[in-house]
Amino acid sequence: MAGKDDMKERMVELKKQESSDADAQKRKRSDDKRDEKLMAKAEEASQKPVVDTEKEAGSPAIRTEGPVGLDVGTSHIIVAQNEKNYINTVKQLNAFFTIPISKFAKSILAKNDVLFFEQDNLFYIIGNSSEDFANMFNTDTKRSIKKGILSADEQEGITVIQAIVQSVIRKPKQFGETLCFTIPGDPLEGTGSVVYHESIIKRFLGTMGYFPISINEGMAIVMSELSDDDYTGIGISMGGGMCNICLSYLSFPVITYSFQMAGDYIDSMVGISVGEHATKIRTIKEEELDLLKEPKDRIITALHIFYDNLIKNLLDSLQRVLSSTDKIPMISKPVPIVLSGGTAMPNGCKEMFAKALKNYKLPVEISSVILAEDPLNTTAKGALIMAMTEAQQG
Amino acid sequence: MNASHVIIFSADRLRTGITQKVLKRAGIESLSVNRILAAREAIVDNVPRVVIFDTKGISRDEINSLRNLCRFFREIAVIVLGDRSIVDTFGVDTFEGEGVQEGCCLADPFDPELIASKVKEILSSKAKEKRLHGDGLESDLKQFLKLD
Repeated sequence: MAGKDDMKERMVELKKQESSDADAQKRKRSDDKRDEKLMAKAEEASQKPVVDTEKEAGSPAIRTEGPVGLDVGTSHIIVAQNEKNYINTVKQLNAFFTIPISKFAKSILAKNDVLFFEQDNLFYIIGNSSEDFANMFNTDTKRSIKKGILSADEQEGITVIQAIVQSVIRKPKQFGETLCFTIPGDPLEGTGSVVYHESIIKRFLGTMGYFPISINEGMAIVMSELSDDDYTGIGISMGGGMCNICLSYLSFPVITYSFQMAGDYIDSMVGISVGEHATKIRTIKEEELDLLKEPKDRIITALHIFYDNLIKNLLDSLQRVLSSTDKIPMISKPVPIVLSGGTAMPNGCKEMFAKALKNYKLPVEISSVILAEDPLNTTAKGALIMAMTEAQQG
Repeated sequence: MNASHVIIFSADRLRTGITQKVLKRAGIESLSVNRILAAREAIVDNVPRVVIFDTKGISRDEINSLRNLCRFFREIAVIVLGDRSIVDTFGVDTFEGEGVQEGCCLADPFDPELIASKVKEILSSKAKEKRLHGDGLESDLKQFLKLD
């Protein structure tokens, strides 16, 4: 009899186990559904076109609703927001120009909707307006970020960034809204603390009422452009102050680093070589340069030379970093390289990169070199996709 | 697949994340821990079917603790990951004659797809065993209780 009772108890236990397994299965199915939904939403956002808006003088900052992507770059600060059928980005120049305080200047600035603030007996003209003033005084604007990180030369750097960010976004409608901002990778050479840069920006965004998270710039490119490749590949952001590189495997940033040579390097080296202002070189680079065509004058020739030089240095660094790490997992198929950022924009840059790549043997096989759909806004879009993903997980 | 059936011990968050993601794609949920004590507790509490020990970036003492921990597993399959010079030391003395039911060493380079296929292989062979064992027990019970 006792034996029979034992058997009955074991049967009950078996049934209980079965029902608990069924509950667990149900929970798992619901989690899976949520994850699938989350990925679907992020993928859907990555397919949306970007509608780019230049920040107009006098136009109010956006009151954000929903997750926000923020690209804090050397030359621009770009905000991305998810709209129904598109991604909306708003751009502001990340630069400033100072003039001495005077009542007259103040009234002129206010009348012309110029963005400025007062500090230490100076007016700080910030954003797009600063370039007009610099041109007027036949000089260059100052930058709060140098080579990708907060400039040690400009003590007001963070105040300027705060003012510029506040000119494009206001406090969120909902306190604690997720905002994902971009940070560079650790510099391969040179100095500068990414930790300090990241913490300072995080603190400030936190005081604005956001829940700030950071994403590596190269990773943001992968998030924006490589959804069809399972977020596996190499994202390279070729910006003004630096290039940011990230090897991502299934959306995990396996290798990240920055290389402190980019658009500004080309401008200044070409400027030095041909005896012209870097600003003039930049204008020619942005408006005329076609790297697929034979150069027709010495400035264009010099631009070809230094583009080639930058790409070779970048690939040298990539080979060195990828070959000296044991972090890279076995990747069963070749991965793409995505180029993005203003420096990757001239026609022929992608082809020049792909041609140079043939001379390198990387530990990861490369399937193709592609140019991001909208190179200037890719990073902000990638940050937005990350913010959307994190907001849903939270 | 219940998450507690596979436990991953690793001090490397990136490798943990990648392994979990690849396992998930193969339909296998997993739990992860990054400290030895937590690993021990998780194993005792959950009695998993597979434990993955990643020796990458852990101290010599932790490696010794893992080696000792392995010796007590009778029903658990163990997969050791990491540098060849370390994972090789887990081979003979740990898995043979010490009672570990099953074990294998996968030296770096880190190969998440291979890990997932090993786990899948182990789980399917265990599921087959369980089914055979479970069917027998259930039919015995039904027969005994005259429920057929």
